[in-house]
Amino acid sequence: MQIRTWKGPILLILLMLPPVVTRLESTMTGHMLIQIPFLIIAGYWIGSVLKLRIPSIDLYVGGIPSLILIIFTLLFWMIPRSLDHALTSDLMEIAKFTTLTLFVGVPLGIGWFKLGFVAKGFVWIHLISMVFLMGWLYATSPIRVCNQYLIDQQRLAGWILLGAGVAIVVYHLVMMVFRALKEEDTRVNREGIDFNG
Amino acid sequence: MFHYSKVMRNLLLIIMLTLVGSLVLWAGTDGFQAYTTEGARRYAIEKQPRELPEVTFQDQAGNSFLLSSLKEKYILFTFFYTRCGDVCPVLEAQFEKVVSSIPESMKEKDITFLSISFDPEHDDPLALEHYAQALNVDGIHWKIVTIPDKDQLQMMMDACGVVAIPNQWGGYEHNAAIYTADRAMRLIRIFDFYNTNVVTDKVMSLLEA
Repeated sequence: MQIRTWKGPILLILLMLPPVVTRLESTMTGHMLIQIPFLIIAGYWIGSVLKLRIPSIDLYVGGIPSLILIIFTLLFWMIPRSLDHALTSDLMEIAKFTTLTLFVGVPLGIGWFKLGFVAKGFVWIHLISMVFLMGWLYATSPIRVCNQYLIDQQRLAGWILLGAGVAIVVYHLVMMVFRALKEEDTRVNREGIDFNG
Repeated sequence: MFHYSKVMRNLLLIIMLTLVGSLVLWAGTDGFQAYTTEGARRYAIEKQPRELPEVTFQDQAGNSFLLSSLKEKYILFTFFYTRCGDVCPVLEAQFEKVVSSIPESMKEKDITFLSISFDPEHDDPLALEHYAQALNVDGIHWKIVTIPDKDQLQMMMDACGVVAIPNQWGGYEHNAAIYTADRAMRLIRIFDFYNTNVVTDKVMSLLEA
């Protein structure tokens, strides 16, 4: 029994423990920025293991249709009302755990590395714009968008989202520069010094 | 033709998922109308007015009266608590603007105003009276009240969708708005308190109808 194989299910079970649920959902930051991302990560790990065990699975899951499913699921859980509803209705709570794991995490784990350059770029741009939009909304809104949370919580969650957005952009810029440098390096090594370039 | 069928299958799936996804989003936001719980409640109430429960109020003079005693009149009301230091003073100042914008003749027979404290533990008639003095409260058409009975208070707050969460300073975090009940004691409209002109215009059109 390898930890690698079981880390997805273990994380999922941890997240489902009642004290953990209560603790995370007691604050907006815990709910939006810890619980939800970790549900997706748990699904991602489960998906990557499935991909290793059943290599042909990515013929069925992980392509563009999965991407559509992922985006719609994320959009749904970005609506403040859905989060509120998950706190007051058991059915919505179950739906949150199931859909974020099965519809977002698992297909990402199975298919992310198979996705082409354009599809990956699309997902990142979608994510970055959503993070900035929500961050800005939560950080500056004079009214509470979630009835279940305090406004300080909402502002904090907003600022963390904005910070996360900046971090994602910086990460991509750094990666871009590194990749460009590396490509330049291999090209120079392969072709010799390029005097035209 | 393996590729062809695979492309077709994916295309079908994409169309189906987009349709289903849009439908779910559409349903989850009442047709892209309401993105927050508060927005959803306002939308639902405008479409389907909600009965208010019968409750007993206690006003700043210590008098008790039933909600149903105000029947046959429109009621404009707010929820607040006297110790509130952030949103309530703004809300009540805005409410005062609405109250003073309605002609006295209409207040006589058509409309009455209530500021309801959801903190009866602290807000006894004396506290309410202090609060009333700071505002231009006449005590006849506009009363500062509380609902002493905890169950009744909760029922009233639930009916209006008011959530008050205790905060770290011993006060409450709560949603603030101006609520409208019709002559049959049904909640018909929830207004933002930022723009009082909207409230006045709508109320005048209700009263003149």
